[in-house]
Amino acid sequence: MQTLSEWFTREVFRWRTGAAITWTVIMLFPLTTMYLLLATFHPSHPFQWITDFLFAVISLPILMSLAFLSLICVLFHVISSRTFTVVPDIPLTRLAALLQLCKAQCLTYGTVCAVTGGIIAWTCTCMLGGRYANLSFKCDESSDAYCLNEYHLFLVFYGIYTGLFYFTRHYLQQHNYMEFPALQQAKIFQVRSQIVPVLCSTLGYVLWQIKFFYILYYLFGHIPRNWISKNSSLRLSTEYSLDTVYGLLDVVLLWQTFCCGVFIQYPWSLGATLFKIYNTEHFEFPITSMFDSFKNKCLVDALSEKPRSLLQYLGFHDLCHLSKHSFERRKELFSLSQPGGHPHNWNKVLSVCLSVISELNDKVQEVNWLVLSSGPVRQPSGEKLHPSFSRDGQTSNLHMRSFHQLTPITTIGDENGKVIGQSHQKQQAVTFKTKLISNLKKRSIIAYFLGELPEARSRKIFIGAQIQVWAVEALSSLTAASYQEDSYGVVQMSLPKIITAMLSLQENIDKHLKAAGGQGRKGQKDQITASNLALRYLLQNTLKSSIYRIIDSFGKCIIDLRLSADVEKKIKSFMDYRE
Amino acid sequence: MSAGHIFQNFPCVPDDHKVTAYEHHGDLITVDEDMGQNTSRYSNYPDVFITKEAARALTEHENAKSAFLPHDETVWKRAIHAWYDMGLSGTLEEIVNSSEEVPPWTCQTAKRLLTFVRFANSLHGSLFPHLSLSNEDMITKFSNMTNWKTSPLRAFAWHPHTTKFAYAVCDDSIHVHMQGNELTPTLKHKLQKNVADLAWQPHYASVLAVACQSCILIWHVEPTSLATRPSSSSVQVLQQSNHCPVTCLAWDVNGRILLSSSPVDTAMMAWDVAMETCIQLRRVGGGGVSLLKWSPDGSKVLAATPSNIFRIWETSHWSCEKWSKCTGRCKAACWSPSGDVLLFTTEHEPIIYYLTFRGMADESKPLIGGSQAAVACLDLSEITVKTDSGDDVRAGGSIQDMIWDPTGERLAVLFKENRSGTNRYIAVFRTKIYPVLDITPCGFVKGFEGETPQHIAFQPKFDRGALLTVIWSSGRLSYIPMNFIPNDMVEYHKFQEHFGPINALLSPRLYSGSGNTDVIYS
Repeated sequence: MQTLSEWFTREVFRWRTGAAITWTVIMLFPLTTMYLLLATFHPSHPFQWITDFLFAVISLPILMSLAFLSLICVLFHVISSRTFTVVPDIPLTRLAALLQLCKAQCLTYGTVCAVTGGIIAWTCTCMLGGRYANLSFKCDESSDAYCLNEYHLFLVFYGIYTGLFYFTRHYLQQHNYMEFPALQQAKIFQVRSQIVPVLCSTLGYVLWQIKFFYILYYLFGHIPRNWISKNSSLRLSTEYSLDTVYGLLDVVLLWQTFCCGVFIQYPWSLGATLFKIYNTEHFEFPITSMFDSFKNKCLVDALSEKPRSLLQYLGFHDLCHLSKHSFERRKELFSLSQPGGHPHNWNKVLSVCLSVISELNDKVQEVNWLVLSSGPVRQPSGEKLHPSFSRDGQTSNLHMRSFHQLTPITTIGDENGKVIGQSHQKQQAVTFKTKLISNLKKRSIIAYFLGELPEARSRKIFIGAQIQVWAVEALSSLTAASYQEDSYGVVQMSLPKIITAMLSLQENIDKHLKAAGGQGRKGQKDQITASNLALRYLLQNTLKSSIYRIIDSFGKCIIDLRLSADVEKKIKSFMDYRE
Repeated sequence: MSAGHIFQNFPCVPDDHKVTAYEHHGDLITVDEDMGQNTSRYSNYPDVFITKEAARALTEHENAKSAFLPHDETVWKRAIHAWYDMGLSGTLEEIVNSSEEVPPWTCQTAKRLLTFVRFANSLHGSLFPHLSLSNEDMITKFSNMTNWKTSPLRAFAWHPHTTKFAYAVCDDSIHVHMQGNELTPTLKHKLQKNVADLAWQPHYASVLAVACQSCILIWHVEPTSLATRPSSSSVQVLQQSNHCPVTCLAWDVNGRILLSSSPVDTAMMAWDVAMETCIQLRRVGGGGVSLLKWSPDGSKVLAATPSNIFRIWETSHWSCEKWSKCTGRCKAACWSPSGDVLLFTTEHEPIIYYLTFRGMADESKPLIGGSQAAVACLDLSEITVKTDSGDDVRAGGSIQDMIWDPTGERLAVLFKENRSGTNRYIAVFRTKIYPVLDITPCGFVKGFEGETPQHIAFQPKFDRGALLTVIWSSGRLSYIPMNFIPNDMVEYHKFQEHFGPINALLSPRLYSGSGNTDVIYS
């Protein structure tokens, strides 16, 4: 029998991706027309421009290039579809970010981007014709000698360069990150609302990167040019050379480069947007299935899929959706098994949800402990702050100071003299090493690459927190709904567990935000960091409102549950609306 | 007027020297004015009186301003101020007005641009007249507050779960009052201008969304904090270009999504507040969104536009149905507790219409299921009625706002300001939704001599019936408790009585059943 993920890839993922790619290709036709219209723009002869354009659009070469472009587009997006992820990698340092690009999968994709960019730019030169059309031209009418067409070369190089830039942005700016929208609109409206923003960001981005290409070409343009001319026995033109200031001041060339850049990037970005919209669409998993072949393709199986996979995300998304909007499916979830009368459906879902919650809870707790414990231990050697602390800036300094008084932990070794001696030697070695590292880190360039990125650790913990957000939200909605709908009382049995899990995660996150919170929400200038970090605030908010929702729906009955004293105290403060 | 006018079946209008204090046994009880001060106090609820002077004395906006002050700002600085206040046309006007301070060519260009802008605006404005209003006039027009511009109070909101409310006064500061806490935090922020609406986040202790001129502010007011002036670090600013002034806010019942609307933007924004991102929900037609009402069960949202169109969205897949051919803009609306009946009124007609909605048959396909056409159910046009002492007074007229209490048993209607002064009275009705919508008179609510109501609200969570709060033009906030047992509770107890011993918990506190059934327990 097929596993769920195989089935999903074949029956859902491929169809969705296919649909997204089809739409991208369909969009390519008007986009190419627009490109031709703008790229052949002649301010001095508007009529000629329009007529030329109309003739060009219906001509065979252009139609051929369109077909070719569509093919390239399909291939490119098929390859891209493997690069998207629901949980982006968070590099701790800039060096790690660069190394991340050198993984085999990334390198392949980078090559694909560069090559495709080059090919599209080459197709553009063919469509434009005129001085861009061929790699070579006759040096002068009389002679047979051929010269290298540098305009052509310039555009093709620019295509490759744009492809490479797109690739870096795809990974470093998390353009491969599939974020689920907070509310589910029809796809057409999602696409419609994205078309203009994506265009604007592409325009801005192309303008930004084009200047670097000019600088690069000015400095190093002669190397590939000379190489090509040497190997293909094409002469260099004597009339012009593009790697001079004068040569690069060509406004028409700049316009062509700009149009070409937008024409390469915009369909790609749009395709990526479409891919994300299609693949983050709500998918309904069955809660139970009568068919044997579907027995392993139910909601619970999706929930317990490989962590951080699209399938698991869709599963939790569906769970969250059903908990809010679907009476029928909730009823199925609360139902008892026949025969036997056990609430299997609910128990399975509950255990998966609780396990993802406690998994994050443990992680956060561990980090909190690390933050709290590493302060006083390092105190005696009188060295600088531990590197992992520097990110906290002043806040952590304050913490350190407050730990000065908390020395009992450091004196544990005193009972055993040997331990002190050994640890002293060790400590000296460690001190030397850390001194060396910290000295290295002071050099600005090395520090730039090796210095820890702000809040990187916190980002790393919470980057997959969307799952927990959905789990918490679903549990609380289901619990709230169970007050009216759960006729067998299956949910109430697990109420103390749910409340305890939520409260403990909430407490740990609060602690984490206070202790290692750094500058908080406003301090972040980098948009990606800010949006990654926002996930932890989202989780914090969701937890609070979920606890409130449970308490609101059960009212005073909550106190009758057998809860531990701590939890009860906490619950009381929630009941007074004082949290 | 016609003999069947609903106000002729009403109990008499209170006399001039009487004040409505509470509802008892289905009647609205009035007391003498000298006793009436007690209506501002109710058990240990906060006692609030908004003094105009205190609010006025603070900063006014510097508009129509510099005329009386010798200003030494440069023209460019003034132009920038004008840009913030009135946008492009304001800047151009400022430059043209001070032509001797700028180079002649700038002045000429500005003049031409201004002509063009005005021409373009007039084209656009002829389609949607509200677009040519100034920010303040626009808010006045679309706010549910009577006379927003001159009122001492600008917005008011009850907390959905506890006894806590917030109100904005005309110097744009917001005050938060809580039961059993003398401390009243005052919220101020430099972006907090022209506050048009407030909304507390449901399922949250103390998160308040504020609709301002240029953005939405989300205040996190720590309930346990002792600070009277929370710092601006506890504020989130949500901004979106072309989405101002924000005049209406609505949280979903789970507190996850905040909808905001502006009469100039055809999209309403669905904010994910924690992530600070928004999703646009745009439909062409209507010229903007002037009113948002989320149904209490969370399944539907009403979005009215400044023209004769309104839409109902369903919230699982966010598709919408459109109602057009109204006689005017939808001015006020309210949902029944279960979200299957919508009452609404249009701007110029004193008639309340209702729409019913079917439940979903198949959940995989989202359905709004609204009835084909709205049915007029109440005509509140102006007529002459008798007071207790037999004098004739006028009552009724166009409707400013109407609210339905959370149990769906009382409906309060606030009238628009008019010449005959009928907006002195708030009309209260008893309502019954099942099996068919039934609206019967309950009475008029009146304040002190010379006071007119500015804003009405029911407390969302009140366990002895309904609590109506009225803010009067004098700045007085009065509580009018309406003690009754909701109908479903009565049904439930009848059932219990029939099938078993009645739960003794409720009986001592029963005053009356819903007025329609006239069941009186002792």
